Order: sequence, then structure tokens, then C-alpha cells
Amino acid sequence: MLNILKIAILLLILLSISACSIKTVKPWERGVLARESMKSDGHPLIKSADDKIYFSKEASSGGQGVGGGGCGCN
Amino acid sequence: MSAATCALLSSGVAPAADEFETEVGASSLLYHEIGRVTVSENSLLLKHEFRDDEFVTAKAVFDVMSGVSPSGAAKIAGDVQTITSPSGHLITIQGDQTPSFSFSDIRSALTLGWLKPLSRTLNLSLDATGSKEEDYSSLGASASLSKELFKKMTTLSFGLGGSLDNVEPRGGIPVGLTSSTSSLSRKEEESKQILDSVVGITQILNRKSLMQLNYSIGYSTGYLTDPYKIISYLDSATDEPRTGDPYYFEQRPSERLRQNIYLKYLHGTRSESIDASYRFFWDDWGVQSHTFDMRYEYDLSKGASLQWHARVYGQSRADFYHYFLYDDPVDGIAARDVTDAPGDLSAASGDYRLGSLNTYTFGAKYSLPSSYGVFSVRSELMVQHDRKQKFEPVFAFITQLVWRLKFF
Repeated sequence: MLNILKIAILLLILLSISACSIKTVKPWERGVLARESMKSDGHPLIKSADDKIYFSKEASSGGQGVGGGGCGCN
Repeated sequence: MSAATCALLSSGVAPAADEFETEVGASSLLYHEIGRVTVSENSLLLKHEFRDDEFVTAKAVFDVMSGVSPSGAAKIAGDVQTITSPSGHLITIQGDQTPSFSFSDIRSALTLGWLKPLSRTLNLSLDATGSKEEDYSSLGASASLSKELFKKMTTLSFGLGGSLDNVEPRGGIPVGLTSSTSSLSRKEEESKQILDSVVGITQILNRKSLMQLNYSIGYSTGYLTDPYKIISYLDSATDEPRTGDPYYFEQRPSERLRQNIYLKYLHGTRSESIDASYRFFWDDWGVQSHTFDMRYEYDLSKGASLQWHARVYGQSRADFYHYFLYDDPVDGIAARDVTDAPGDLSAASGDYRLGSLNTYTFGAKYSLPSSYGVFSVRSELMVQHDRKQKFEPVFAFITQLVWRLKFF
């Protein structure tokens, strides 16, 4: 557990450091990043359906966001 | 988190000054487990911009669920078992069959949301959700803040959400770890409270890649037990349901602390993209899990696209999960199959979803844009199996039709 947290903190520090050294991407250069499939929270109607399926079939949940409501499925 | 993504990835292509965006969407999903549960879920989504970058959203979901679900009782080779269902009926289970209960239910849910920019680099997202089933209701709300830094190359996000749930099962709330045929008086309903929070950072790495790292922590308290699940109580000498009171209602702890570390990497070109993520989950029930998820999409002709999806999941069992209970420890039997008499237990469950299991999902999604919106169809196969093969693998087919249309 502690090892996972240490790795996560290290990743966070690396991300923060790299953020300072990464070349800025201008708005007109973000065509690829604007692809629907490049959105980090996914397709809303597909993601919410998958979240509910795996919430009801497995003992784990969460990780990406909050909210969404409860159900008696687990 | 969606506010963070939308703001971070704005490509600079904007409508005219007096035009506001509206998005509508609909989805129909069919989830079918062979020989078990079938769920039909239908959703409608509306997102409307009524002021610059300020949106209201509404999402309605309607589920119809039916089929049979494992009761938590153990499968016994050879012998016929007679079990009392949650509704009080006696059910005869043939030898070597998983004791299951039939059920049917309908769930309706409505989510209302509001996305508001507080400044050029600070966005707020609020939403509230209410849902109702025959035996379960939930009322929740959440708030998320996202702050853009370094010319929108970095986004910090924080989200907080909570819900108040009410459990009102058919037949009332059974007393945990008592006989399933017990006539002890039952409360009509119980409640549970859930609180979740998440902090995250999304970082654009270059014109084609970005990463996201999240940490989330959640706390649940109240009635966390499944009122319909039972656990078998076997005679340690015969490995068969013991004479008198062979089935007990399960009991789970009344608190649960859940945590996640989530890492995602996205990389794309003008014609394809790859989305890879990893999640590590752990809680104070003893469950740990690893989830690997990957989606690879590429463009086809006429603006269509095909996306392949693979997901691999593995979890370790909850501390209080047992395939069955014994009167007394028996030499040579693995410790987790053996426990003290229920009087010494504070929690025990035979619900296989709390056990050691793996889930594999594989499928594809085809999308086709048109002047009437984007139509998508996805089809996936999900296979879930117990690592010790104590119950049959679950095979489920997931099929979903989705439509989205944006207009100004």
C-alpha cells in the first residue's frame, strides 16, 4: 500500500517537473487532442453504463470522478 | 472532471458569438448473462449552453432488470437443497447447481448538472442525482473544481460527492448471521451514507499526448449488507448443509474506507488514438484490485471509426468472504473456508463478488457520423471467474446503441 502511494507521489512530482519543461501546445495545435476519443473522461453514456456494470459485478469502484448516484445492485 | 477535460482540450474552433451549443444523446444497452441476469438500460442526455461556456445538463436513465442471481449459498455436489427465498418461498436446488434467487426490478434515475466557469481558468461543476428502485432509493450530489495552469497545459481537479441511500428490501431487513428461516422481527428499512472525494492532475505532454493521475478516497457507513444474500453453514464431517439452520443471512461491516490510484495515458494522431489506464483499488475490507483498460481507435472511410476495447481485472477477496461456514475448524481445510461459529463472527458473506476473481472484457465499437448525429454500436463479451473455480464462470454480452448530436 505504502509502495503504491510512494509511486503515485513520485509520478505526481515527475508530472509537475515535466509540466515546467514541456513545450506549450498552442490552441491551434490541439487538433489531435480535441478528438472525441482523446477526452480523458470518455463517452458519457458509455462510461456511466460501464461504471454501473462493473460496480454491480465487482468489489471495486471509482477512480475517475465523483457522483453518479447509487443503486441496489451491489 | 469533465469540466477539466472540456476546458483543457478546447481546440480554438468556436461558434459565432451569439451561438450556444446544445447536445442531445440517447443510449440503449442490453446486458445479458447466460443463464442469469438481463438488464435493459435506456438513457437520455441533454446538455445546453445558455451563457458563454456555462451549461446545464440533464440525464434520465431507466433500467429493467430480471433473471436469477446467486444467493451466496454453496453449491453442493449430488444433494438436493431446499432454500427459503427472500420472499419466503421454498426453492429446490438440484445437486451441483448454484443456489440462486430469481428477481425483477425497475430503476429510474435523474441527474441534473450545472457547469460554470468561475474565471478564465477556474471551472465549477455541480450535479444532483436521485434514483428509485422497488427496494432501494438514493439521493446524491457532487461538486468539482478544475483549475487550469501553464497556458492550459495542466489542470488540477478536485471533486467531492455524497449520497444518502435507503434500503427497503422485500420482507424487511433480516438480522445478520441468523438463520434464514428465523422468525426474528425485522426492521422495514435501513440507510447508508456515502462520501467520495477525488484529486487529480491532467497534463498535456505534447500535441498528441496527455496523462492523468488521480487519487480518490471514499467512506461508506450504515447498512452495507446485501439483505437477500445468505451463506451456507455446513457440517464439517460431511461437507453437506448441516441439519437444522443450514443457511444464514450474511452480514457485512457497517463501515468501509475505499481508495484508488488511477493513471491514464492518451496518445493520438489525426487518424487514430490509444487510451490506456491502470487503477489500483484497496479498502479496509481486505479487497485489493488491479484494473487494466485499453481502447484503440482508428478512422475508417466516410468519417466512421472502429474502437477495440480490452479490460483485465483481478481482485483479492474481502476478509469476511467465505465459500461457506463450518461449525468448527477442520484440519487440512484452507483457513478461509473455516471459521468460528457465527456467534463469534462479526461479518461473513458468501457473495462471490467479494471473492477472489478475475474479469476479462473484450469488444469493439463502431461509430458513424451523419447529418443526424453520430451513431455508435458497441458489442462486448465479459467473462468473470473465481480464481479457485468454486463457482461457474459468468459469461455476459454487452450491446449498446448510442446516438449523439451537437448543434448550435
